Amino acid sequence: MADRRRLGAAALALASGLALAPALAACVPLSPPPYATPAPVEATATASSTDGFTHAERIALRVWAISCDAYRNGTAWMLDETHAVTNRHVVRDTTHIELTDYRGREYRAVAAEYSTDDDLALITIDGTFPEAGTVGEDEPALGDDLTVTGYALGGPLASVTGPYVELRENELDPDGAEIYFLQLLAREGNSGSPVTDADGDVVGVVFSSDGEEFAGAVTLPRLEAFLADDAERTEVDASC
Amino acid sequence: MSEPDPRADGAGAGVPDEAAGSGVPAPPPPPADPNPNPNPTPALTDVPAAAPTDVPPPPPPRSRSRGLAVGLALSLIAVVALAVPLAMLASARSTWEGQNADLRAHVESLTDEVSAQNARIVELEQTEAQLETLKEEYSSAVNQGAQGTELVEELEDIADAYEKCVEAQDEHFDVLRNSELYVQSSIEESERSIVEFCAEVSDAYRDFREKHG
Repeated sequence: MADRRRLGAAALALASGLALAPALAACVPLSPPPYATPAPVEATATASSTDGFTHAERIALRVWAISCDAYRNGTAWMLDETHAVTNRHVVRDTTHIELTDYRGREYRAVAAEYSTDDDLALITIDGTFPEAGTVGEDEPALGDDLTVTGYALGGPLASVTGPYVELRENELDPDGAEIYFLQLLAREGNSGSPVTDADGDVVGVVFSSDGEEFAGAVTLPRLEAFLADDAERTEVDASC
Repeated sequence: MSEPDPRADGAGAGVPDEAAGSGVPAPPPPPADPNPNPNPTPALTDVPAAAPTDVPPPPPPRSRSRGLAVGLALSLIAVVALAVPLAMLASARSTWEGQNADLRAHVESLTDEVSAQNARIVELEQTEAQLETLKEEYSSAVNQGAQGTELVEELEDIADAYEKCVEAQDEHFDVLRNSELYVQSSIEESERSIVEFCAEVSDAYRDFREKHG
């Protein structure tokens, strides 16, 4: 009887040992550790260039215009190497327009024309400009952070960023097109400033402000319509 | 392994038993009495030892050896059965320890890299802040240059306007000196326009000073 018990115990030990062996064997070849390789941060279109200025800042121009009865400061931005976009109310009835870029390079306007529908104008400069802005393909979405770059109060150059709050009626022209309403501080001198999205593309043009918290901008579709080849424009009359 | 002693007193264990299987040995015969007692009393006899009992026969030697061999074999199997998983466990532990050491080394390496990157980020942030300050100062200087040009032009325009004002007043004095040559109402109209123009120039200069200091 005792022998049988001993035999049973030995058989049990053997069986459990043999059963444990494969389990341990399965643990031996460990899988390699999951070493994660960090992905490098990609530069965005709005990242600073080597000189520390953004693309929007490099294409923004300070506008100084003389009308028959006043001096005006505003902002423009280069659309291509010879044309700059600004507001109609910056160049209308002016006799002389000068532009200065972020490095102090000076340009003189040789012609200017404006829209009869929107507060937009196109200036032709003497000479050529080395960089040009990119007009966006998609309108900004509500809540998107947009950046306004320009020469508030006649300078110096500065950029302010704030959210796109809503598409609303233009209180200065209730019969005109709707405008982007932005929550950011734009001041006199910011008229004509480019409104850029996160990619650095121009999606609007500042033309109004409450001087405190909100600014109005001409929308991307209206800008595209103004820049279309067959768009109707009025030439600035330089006589007083 | 020892078998239990079948005898009650337990004496003589291990001593070969000659009477095995025939009971207790008979005591030797008492010596003859030289003086026999006429009244013999009953003779005392030795109390016999414990009554013999049945003793089971010890297992045959061959069967015991076989049991020992089986037990030994089973023990050996059990030892081997335990030794194999133990050896594998030791191997796994060694492997795990090796990988653990590798992982620790890798973690330390990554930690060093992260520390270096953090230090680099701090440097970059400082550089970025310095660049931002420089950018502002640069823009301010450039703007002052542009503004300076504009201020000069504005002042030149105001000076020109003052000059026109003075010229107009001089001409008006000539008119007043020869007033008989002019219609009185036109003289008054001319004077009023000159006064308004000079007032505008003065206002422009005042605005300029207020704006630019």
